[in-house]
Amino acid sequence: MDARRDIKLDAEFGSWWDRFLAWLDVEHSASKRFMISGAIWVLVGTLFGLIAATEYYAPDLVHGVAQLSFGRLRPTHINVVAFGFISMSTVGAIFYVIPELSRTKLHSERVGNILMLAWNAVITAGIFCITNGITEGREYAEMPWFLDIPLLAALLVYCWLVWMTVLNRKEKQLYVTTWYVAGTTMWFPIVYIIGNKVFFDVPGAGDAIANWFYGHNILGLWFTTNGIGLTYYFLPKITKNPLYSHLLSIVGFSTIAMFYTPTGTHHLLQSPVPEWLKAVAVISSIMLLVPVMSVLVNFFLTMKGKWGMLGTNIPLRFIITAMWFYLLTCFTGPFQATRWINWYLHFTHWVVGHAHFALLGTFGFIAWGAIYYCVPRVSGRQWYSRRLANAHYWLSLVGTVIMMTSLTIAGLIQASAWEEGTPVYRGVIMVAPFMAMRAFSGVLIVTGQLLFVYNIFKTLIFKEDPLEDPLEEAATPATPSPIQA
Amino acid sequence: MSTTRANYLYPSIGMGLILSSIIFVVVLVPRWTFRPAQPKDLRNYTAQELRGREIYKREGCWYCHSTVSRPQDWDHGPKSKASDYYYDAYHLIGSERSGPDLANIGGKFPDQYHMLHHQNPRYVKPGSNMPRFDYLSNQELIDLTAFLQGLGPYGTRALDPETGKLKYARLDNFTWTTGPFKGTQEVLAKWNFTPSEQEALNNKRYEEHLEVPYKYRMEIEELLFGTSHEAQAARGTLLVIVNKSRINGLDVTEESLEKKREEDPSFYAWTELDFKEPAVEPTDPLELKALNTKRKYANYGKGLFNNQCAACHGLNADGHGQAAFGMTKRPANFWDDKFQRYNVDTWYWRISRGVPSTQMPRWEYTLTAEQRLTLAAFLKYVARNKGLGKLEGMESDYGKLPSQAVPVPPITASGAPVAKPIPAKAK
Repeated sequence: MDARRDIKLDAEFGSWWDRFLAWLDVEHSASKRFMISGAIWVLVGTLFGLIAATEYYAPDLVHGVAQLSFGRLRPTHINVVAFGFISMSTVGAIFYVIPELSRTKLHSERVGNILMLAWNAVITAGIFCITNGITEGREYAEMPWFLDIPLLAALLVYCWLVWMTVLNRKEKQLYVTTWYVAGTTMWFPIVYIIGNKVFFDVPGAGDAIANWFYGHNILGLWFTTNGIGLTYYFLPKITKNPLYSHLLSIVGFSTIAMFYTPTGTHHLLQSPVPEWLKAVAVISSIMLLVPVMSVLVNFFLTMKGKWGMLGTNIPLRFIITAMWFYLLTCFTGPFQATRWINWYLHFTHWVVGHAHFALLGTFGFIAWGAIYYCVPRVSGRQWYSRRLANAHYWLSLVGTVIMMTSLTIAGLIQASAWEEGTPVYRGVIMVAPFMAMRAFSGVLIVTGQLLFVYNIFKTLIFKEDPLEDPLEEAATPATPSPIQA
Repeated sequence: MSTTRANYLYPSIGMGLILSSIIFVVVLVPRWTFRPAQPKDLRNYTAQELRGREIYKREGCWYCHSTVSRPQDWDHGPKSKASDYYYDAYHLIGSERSGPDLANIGGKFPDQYHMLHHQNPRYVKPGSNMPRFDYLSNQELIDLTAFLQGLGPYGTRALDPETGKLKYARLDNFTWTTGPFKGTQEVLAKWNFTPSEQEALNNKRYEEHLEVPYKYRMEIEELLFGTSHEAQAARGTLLVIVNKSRINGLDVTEESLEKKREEDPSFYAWTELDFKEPAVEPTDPLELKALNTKRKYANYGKGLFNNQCAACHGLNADGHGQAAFGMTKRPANFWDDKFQRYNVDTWYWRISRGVPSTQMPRWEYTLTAEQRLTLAAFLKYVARNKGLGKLEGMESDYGKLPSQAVPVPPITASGAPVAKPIPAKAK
C-alpha cells in the first residue's frame, strides 16, 4: 500500500527529472543509500574473495577465463570490500552521526546522493577494469588513473559535505567522533594523492616507499579513524553510559595521526630502502600501542556495568566484537613490525591473516554494527528480522575466526619451513589443508552476507513489517521454565 | 561562537603542522635523497621485456611472487640492491609469497620451462597451486618469459660491470635504438652458449657456494682443535681428509688460531689431502698405508652413501638413483668436473644444510659430524677420480666407524695435499 501511495504522490510531483531531484532530496536518504550500497558491495566483494580462495586451493577449477584468474580476483576482492563495503557503509553512518552530533541536517542531501551514485559507478567501473587487467599494479590502489581522479573528487566532495555540516552546527561543543571524522577529511586526501601514481610518481625502489605509505595509511588514517570515531558515538549512545575518560580520547586522537603516518616502511624491512626510514617506521609502529591502548581502555571501561547488553543488543554486539578484534590486531601489529619478528613472518600468510583481522574483523564488524544501528533511525523502519541479523553475526564471527586461525597457522608453517631451507613451493603443499579451511570460512562469511542483504532489502526496499523484536531490545522471553515458576 | 572556534583552531593548526612535517620527512625527503645510482651490472629493459613486465603486472603475478631477495632467504640468489630497481617505472616488490621469489629467476630455467609452466604449472611442477595462464597468447607468453629471463645476476640483462658488455646473453636478433647494443630484430632472448660456455656458467653458479661455508669452516676447526666429545670422535676421520697446519713450528691451538685469524681472516689451519688415485700403486709402505687409510674411510663413506644417499644419487654416485625418476630437479652427479672444486668444508656444509628447493635433506639433523665427514671423504674421492675408482664393494659394517681413530701418517710428495686457497668470507 505504502509503495503505491508513494508512486501516486510522485506522479503528482511532476516530470521524471523533478521526481529524480525529489528522490535526491529525501531526508536521510544519502545515509540510507550509502549503507544499502555498502551491504550490496559486501556480498559482491566477499563472493570475489570466496572464488579466489577456492581457486587458491583448487587451481584447475577455472581456467581459460582471464577475468576469473586468481591474480585478478584478489585485487578486485580487496578494492570492492575496502572501497565499496567498508568505506561506503562508514560514510553512510557518518552522514547520520555527524548531523546528529551537530544538531543539524546534512548540509546537502542532494550532493550526498549524487556522491553515492558516483561512488557506486566508480566501484562498478573498478571491478570491470581490474578483472579485465586494467590496473595500476599497486596494492590497495589498483584502480587505474581515470578512476583515481573521480575517486579523489568524490573524496573531496565528501570532505566538503562533512565540513559544511560541522561548520553549520547548532551544538557548539565538538564531540570526539567529530574530531576523528573531520580530521580524516583533512589528511586522507593527502594520503590518497601520495598513494596514486597519477598524482605522485616515483621511479624504482622509492615507489615502494610511496606505495606503502599509502597502503598502511589507508588503514590507519581512513578506516581506523572513521571506525573508531563511529565507535566513540555508538558505545555511549547504546549503553547510555557516559564516555569513561575525555582525557584518554584526547590522547588517542592526537597520537593516532602522529604515529600512524610514518609506519608504512615496515612493509619493506628487508628491502633495499633507506635504513633510517625503516627505523622510523618500526619505532612509530611500536608507539601505535599508545593510541590503541587509550582508545580500547576508554571503550572497555565505558562498557562498565553494561556487558549484559551484549546478549540482547545486536549492534552493540557487532561493535564490541570489532573492538576485541581491534585489540588482537593492534597487539600483533606492533610486534610483527619489529625487525626480528618481521624477519620471520614477512611474506607469509600470517600477514594476509593480519590484514583480515583489521579489515574484516575490526572495520567490517564496525560497519555492520553501524548499519544495524543507523538503518532504523534513518528510515524509521525496524529491521525485518532479528533472527537473520543474529545468524549474520554468528556466521560472520565463526567465519572470521576460522579464517584467522587457518591463515595464522599457515603463516607459521610457511615461516618455519622457509627458515628450515624448505623451498617455497613445498611450503605451498604444506599449507594446502589450511587453504581449504580458509575457503570454507569464506563460504560461512558469504552465507552471512546473503542473509544480511536479504534482511536489508526486506527492511528498506520491500518495506516489510518486522517479523520479530527490534535488534536493540530484549528478545521476547520464552515461557518461564517450570523451575522458575 | 568565534571564541569557541578559536579553541579548536590552534590545536588544528598545530596538528596539521605536525602531520605535514611527518609526511615531509617520510615521503618527500626519501623522494629527494633516496636515488640509487644507475647500476653497472644491469641493462635497461627492452621493449619486449617491458611488455612482459606489463603482463606480469596485469595478471597479478606480483601478488604471489615477490621480487626482492632477502638476506635470510634460501636459494633465492644474491640479496637485492636498490639499484636493481633503477629501471623500474613502478615497483613490483609484492607483499606475499605463495610462490618463490623471482628477483633472481633469470637463467635459472630454460625458456621452454617458463612457456610450459605458464600454460599449466602442473606440467612441470606437480603440486603447484599457481593458476593456469593458458588464456595468454603465444606472443604474450614469449614476452613474459623474456621479462623473467632478464631478472637477476644470471639473467639476460646482466652486464659485466668492467666492460659494460652483456654477461651471459646474446641478443643477436634484437633491435636497440640507443645505447651500446645495436642489433637487428627483436626475438625471445636466448642463451646461445657453446657447451664449454654453459659449463663455465654452471661453475660460476657454484662459485656462490664456495663463499657460504664459512660457518662450517669454523665448525671443522672446532672439530680439529676442540675438546668436546664430538670433536674427539670426529678428529680421526678429519685427519684422514686434512693436514693439520702448524704456526711458527707449534701445533695450532684455539688461542694461536684466534691470533692468527685477527691478522689474516682467511687463514686456514689445515690443508686438504688429495684423494686422487695414483696411476701405479705406490711402493713406499708409508705412502701405501696413507693411501689405504684414505680408501678405507672413503669406503666407510660409501657404506653410509649406499644406505642414505644412493636412492636418489645412484649407487655409482652419478645422479641416476631410482628415486630420481620423478624429480623435477635432478640429483647431483658427483662425477661432474665442478665437484672437484668442492673443498672439505663445502662438502661438509652441503651435506649438513642440504640443498634448498630440492628434496635433499639437512643431514645435520640425522648424521653425526663424523659420519658427515666420512661422506665428505667418499665424495671427494668420487669427484677426484670421476667414479668409484678402487672402492670395491662396501664395508660390511657400513655406517660404523673404527672405535680408535687412525691418524694418517705424514704425506710425502706423491700424495701432495691440495693447497687450494679458499676465498675469505664475502663482505
